[in-house]
Amino acid sequence: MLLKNAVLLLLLTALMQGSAVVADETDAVTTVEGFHATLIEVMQQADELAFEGRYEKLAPVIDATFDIDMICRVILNRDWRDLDPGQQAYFAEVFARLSTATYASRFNAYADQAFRTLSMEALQEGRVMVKTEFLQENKEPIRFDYILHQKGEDWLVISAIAEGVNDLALKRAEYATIIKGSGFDGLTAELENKVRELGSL
Amino acid sequence: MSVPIKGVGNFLYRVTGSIGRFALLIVLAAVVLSGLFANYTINNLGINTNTTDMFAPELRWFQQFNQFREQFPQLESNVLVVLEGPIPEYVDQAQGLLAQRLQAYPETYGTVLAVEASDFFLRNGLLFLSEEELLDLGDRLAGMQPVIARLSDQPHLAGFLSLLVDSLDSELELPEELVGVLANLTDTFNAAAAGEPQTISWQHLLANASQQQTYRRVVLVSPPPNYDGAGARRQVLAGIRAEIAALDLSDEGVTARLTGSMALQQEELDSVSDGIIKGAIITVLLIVAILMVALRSWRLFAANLITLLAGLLLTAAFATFAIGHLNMISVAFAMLYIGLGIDFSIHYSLRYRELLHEGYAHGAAIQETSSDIGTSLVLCAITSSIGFLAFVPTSFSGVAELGLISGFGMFASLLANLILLPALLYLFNPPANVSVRSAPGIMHKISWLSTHQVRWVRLLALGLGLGSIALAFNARFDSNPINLRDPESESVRAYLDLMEEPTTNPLTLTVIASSNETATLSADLLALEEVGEVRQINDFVPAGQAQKIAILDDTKLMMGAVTPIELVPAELNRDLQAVREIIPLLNASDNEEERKLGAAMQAWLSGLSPGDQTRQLHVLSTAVLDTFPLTWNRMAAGLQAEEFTLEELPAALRSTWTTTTGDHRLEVIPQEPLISAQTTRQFIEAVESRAPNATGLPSIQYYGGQTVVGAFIQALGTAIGAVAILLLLLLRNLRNSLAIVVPLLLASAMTAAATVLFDLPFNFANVITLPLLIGVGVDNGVHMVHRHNQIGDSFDLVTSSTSRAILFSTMTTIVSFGSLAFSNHPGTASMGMVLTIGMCLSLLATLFVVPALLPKKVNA
Repeated sequence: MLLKNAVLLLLLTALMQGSAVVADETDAVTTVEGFHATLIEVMQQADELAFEGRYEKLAPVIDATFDIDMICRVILNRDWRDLDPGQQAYFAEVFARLSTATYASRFNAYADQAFRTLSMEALQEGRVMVKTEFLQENKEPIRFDYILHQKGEDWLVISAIAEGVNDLALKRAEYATIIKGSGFDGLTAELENKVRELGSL
Repeated sequence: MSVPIKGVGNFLYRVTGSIGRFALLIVLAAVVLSGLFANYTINNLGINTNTTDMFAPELRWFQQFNQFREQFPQLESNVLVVLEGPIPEYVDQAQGLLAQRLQAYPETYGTVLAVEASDFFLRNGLLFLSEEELLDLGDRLAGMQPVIARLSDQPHLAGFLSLLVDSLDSELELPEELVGVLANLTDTFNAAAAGEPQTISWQHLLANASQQQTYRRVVLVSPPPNYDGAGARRQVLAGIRAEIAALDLSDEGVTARLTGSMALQQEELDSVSDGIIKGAIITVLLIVAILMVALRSWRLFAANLITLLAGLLLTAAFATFAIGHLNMISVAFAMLYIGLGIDFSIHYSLRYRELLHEGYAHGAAIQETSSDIGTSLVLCAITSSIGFLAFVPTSFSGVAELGLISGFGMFASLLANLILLPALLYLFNPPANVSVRSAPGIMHKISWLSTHQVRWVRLLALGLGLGSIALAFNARFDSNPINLRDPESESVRAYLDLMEEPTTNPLTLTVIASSNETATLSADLLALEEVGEVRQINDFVPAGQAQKIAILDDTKLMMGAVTPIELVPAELNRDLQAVREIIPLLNASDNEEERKLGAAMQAWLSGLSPGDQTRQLHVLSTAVLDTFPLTWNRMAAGLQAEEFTLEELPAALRSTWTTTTGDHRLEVIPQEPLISAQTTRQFIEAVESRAPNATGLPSIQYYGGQTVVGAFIQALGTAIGAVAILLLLLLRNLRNSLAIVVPLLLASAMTAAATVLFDLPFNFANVITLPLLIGVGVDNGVHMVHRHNQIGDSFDLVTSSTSRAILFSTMTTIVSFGSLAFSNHPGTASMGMVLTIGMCLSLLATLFVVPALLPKKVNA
């Protein structure tokens, strides 16, 4: 269950605020660590903030950390190409809300967990991979890796990988099935539903 | 005989007397000369097995083809290694490894092309898929991503199973794509439990394809031009086979077959010579038996054989001197020589024995035979020789060379039979008391028919002749050389398999166009209904590269770190343990597929034998995972594709599609495989209507066939005409001349008709029997007419030694070469059949029709 949660978190992470970055690749690490810091903060204040408070706090961070448009494009693949700009914007917005809501609902308690950055390596096309782990008491650490690219001045996360499993791949497979069954509107309706469910938890 | 050759008999009579005085000297000289000829021939006579070299260089289509061969030698003379197997990864791997090994010896193997295995295609191959296909591929890779990630981290069976454990623990929801893998896994465990390991092809799983079909890859090997002789060719083929054997492909279920022009020619040569060695022994024994029955004396027999051999060696030495090589058609000179040469000797020997029997003394009999039979032999030699020389001016050099050699051979035979044979007879002094058998009863019946039922025989001959001519118009020439070859041989089967696939079909036409016409011309050609596909170098530069690379880029992102996977060896306490631990989880699942997998694993586990566990585990983990890195690593390399232009294509590939001057080669692939002559003709004509310079194997075969047919019609017509004129000049007797020419025409027409009736089309192999049939027909006629003039009675003619000599010599020829009909090589077999049919018809025409055309009584 934990792994599944972690994956969801990372996905959602994709939608949140980020920290400003300069041209240096090490700024990619700053982006990731800034996001992790917010997550820990939210967990520490989980009870006082409640769901709504956690959501409000995470939303701008996820937005600034993740390149949501690109993530949506990769996840929806060919279906993304068929959407008009209005639909694309709508999907990105719902997806961001879902991600934020997921993070807000999952990171709801603190028990001395911590994130640790392990390494950073340059990939092709000016991308970098930042490898981290999530440390928890009495449990094996969970690996969280991020691929980032530079957009303007900022390093933004475009892919989150938990224990090697790339959330882009999982979501792509899942959403493709839904679209095949009930179309784009069916997909957004289902995502809206999930957001509501998470908020009412 | 008549005027012009009247003196020949007297001359020969005197000469033979001198031969008698120097017999020993002549025989010794003949032996020494024969030895020299043999030595000269063996050291200098080459064989050109390339059947496309047999045409006159000024023919338009041949020039076009030669130009094509010069520009693209690798496409004309090559070996194609056809690799096939059920597991695509293993076939691809074999292709790459074999190409690598062969490329290490460029001086032997020349250019080695394995397009799909080249670095260039491994890197850029995915760009040849459409955008739609690339998006699909991305979807499927997304489904595999968890497996790839897990195996990158833990490259072994336990790592793979841990992913299943996670999904059973509901820590991870397996993508739909992976759920399908469960069934394959179950099959693999069951198969391993049954002791018949069944390897999973991850490429098939990824492509969602069935694992049943055979996967094929081709390596094209084009050795340097100096490797075209039979010896060098054998060496290249053996070398390739050795490299294939060193790869040890059998475990991976990959088979390798060799085809392409070099393998086809070599296998053809081997199958022909294989048959010849087997057949030769039987043939020799049969000939000995027949000659013994005919000659009834070992000494006479030996004299005949030595004469035959000496004349044959003289002819071979002439061929070496005059031409220097034999081609696949002119090798038949030996057959022609033996067929006609033995006839000369038999006629001579039988007449000699007949004279002995009539009471002639030994020396007188020899002189009389030379004078009598010698006159016929001179006439035979002149007429047959003219017949053969008629082939020289044709544009089919294959048969022109045969004509020249055999034309000379007739005189070589004449010399041997009139000088060496008498000398041998003087020396050997065969016994005089040999009984001469009276003619068998059948000969009397034939004689009665052809002399007492003249009208009926003539009418029947006329009817048969006209009927045959009508039928003969339907005679076909099968110009497809593949039909001459053993259809069961490896190279032919592989060739036919390749023909069925448009991408590998070797029977295509080539059009050379300047680079700026390429696009319009290929569109023009493609519009033809006979054309299935047009390939050219621009096809190797896919359109929309930037968009495709963007799709690959997204895919790459989705795959996370794109790194190659390298499996580690199976370990008992890690992997076997993992299997043991997952079984209870599977058994407890509410998914039926998962429970089945649990059962299959349990079955496999309980089948393990303690002493053999390591191996059994290795076999299983190989079956499950071995192809995974092959597929993924290839894919990972492919995801790195970069944009490229025409100029950046690999040189080896470019050189098969562009000339050195920058023109483009268009490969025009037929809509349907070119099996029938009809399809071939339509395809060629259609392509030529748009591109007159089109050339290639189909064109060579088609026009080559036409040229051969033309050459034979021209040559046979000239031969028969020349023989007729010559006979008129030499015999000065119309009736005698007609008695020779008419049966010849009849036998020819009936033979052509027989090929229609028996559906035995003429082809490059069996047409070469036609000159022999003409030669034998003329000779038989000459002997009959000569003897008839001598004895003055057509009834006695059929029962004379001459008729018997004709019977025996025809039988000898049929036995010598008719046995070819049983060859495994269809070309050789058809040669044997046409020859046998033709010889029998010729014999019948000679025995029945010649006497019926001659006057019953002649006033000597």
